[in-house]
Amino acid sequence: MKGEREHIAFDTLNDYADGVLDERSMSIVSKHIESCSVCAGQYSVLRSVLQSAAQLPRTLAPPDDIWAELKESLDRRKEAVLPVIGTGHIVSKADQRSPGATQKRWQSPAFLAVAALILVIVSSGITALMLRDNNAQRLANQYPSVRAPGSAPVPPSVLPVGFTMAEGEYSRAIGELLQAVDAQRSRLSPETIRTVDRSLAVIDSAIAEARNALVADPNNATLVDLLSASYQRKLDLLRRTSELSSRI
Amino acid sequence: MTAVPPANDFPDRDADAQLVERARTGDVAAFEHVYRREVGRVYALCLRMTADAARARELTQSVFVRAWDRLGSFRGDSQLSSWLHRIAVNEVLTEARTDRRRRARVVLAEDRTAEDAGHDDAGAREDAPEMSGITLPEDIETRMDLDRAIAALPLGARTVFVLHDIEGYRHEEISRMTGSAEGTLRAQLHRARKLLMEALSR
Repeated sequence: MKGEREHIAFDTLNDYADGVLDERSMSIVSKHIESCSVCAGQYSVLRSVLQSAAQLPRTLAPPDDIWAELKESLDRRKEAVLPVIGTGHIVSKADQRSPGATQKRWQSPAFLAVAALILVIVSSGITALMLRDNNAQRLANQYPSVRAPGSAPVPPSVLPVGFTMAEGEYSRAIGELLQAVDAQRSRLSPETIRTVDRSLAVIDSAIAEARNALVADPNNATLVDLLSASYQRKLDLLRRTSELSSRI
Repeated sequence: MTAVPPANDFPDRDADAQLVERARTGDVAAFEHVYRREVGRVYALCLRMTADAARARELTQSVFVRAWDRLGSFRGDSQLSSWLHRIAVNEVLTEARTDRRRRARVVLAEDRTAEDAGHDDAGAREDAPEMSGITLPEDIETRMDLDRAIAALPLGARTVFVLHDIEGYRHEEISRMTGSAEGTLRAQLHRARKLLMEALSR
């Protein structure tokens, strides 16, 4: 802060405009501006910029087709849903149109535990079948240390370029959901926590196997689908767990 | 201080709670209602912070996908619009941190002014955001000029200016979000204002 006879430093002028100076400094700057046309002019322009910024519209119309693409993405995320207890079949979109019934089922921790186990058995079984291909299995064995994203850093690998971006998105979403679930663990019963952890471990194993196979065979579209589905299962299990804990 | 706090658009918490509850069960129509109400604000933030219409579009989608995935963590402690706005800010900042190389490629050499070329911010740019669709104010030219000038700011200065002077966040909040020291943020804010004053005085 300079004396009254010198021009006001720009930083000080900003602090004055923001009202963060102490009372004495505010008074000095105020008096200076009244008598100094240079500083008064600079302050006037600064005020004008700040006022214009404050008056900018807070909303801008987005491109019209964002929702259509977003809806497709959300629908895809809804595809991987947990099976209905006792039947083992996958919940259809028609079933999802009855949110009340679905919600009641999800409000039961016991249901979550059983459903998660069924999910794991079904998904890991499918994964095992898909990876039974000799070549993929052999190559998968070459990468025994691979772990799934979200639980540990992914290993150096060469995945298809398109899928690398998708995997990053999955990893980020899974990481956030894992944090949310971890923060809510105290709300869940120990049995449910154990079941969820076991389920996550099995899904992680399935992800690692599919990922290893894809690293070895990056042009294999089936493996891309399989790995995507495994990530989606993990995402969905975490999301459901997070929802469940928030309702308890 | 002339910044305006984040707007509270139709803060009906009960209605929001019902929408969220429906969306949690997979009701996309309920989520679309939230989207229609909030997308303008999310898109404006993304566009102003990135100064890139294509990236703003991608980020807007990412924000709502992330919100969909995290509906279970929304407890109603804050308003839905504020919750979404935070997700949007985090999304933009995360993308900026992890994707600066891609952004640098987008900046065409001829778009840089001699002055901008001297800045050390990797994301410095002169390209203005796409202006279509803006709710036009009365003094349209001034505000379009300001939006263009904001878009031309170096990345760090633009980020702080948008968050502080347009969105109304405090320095300590921005510090938490960006991981930068408050003194650094204050310096970037002053720099942004100075550059804007110069740009608008030409």
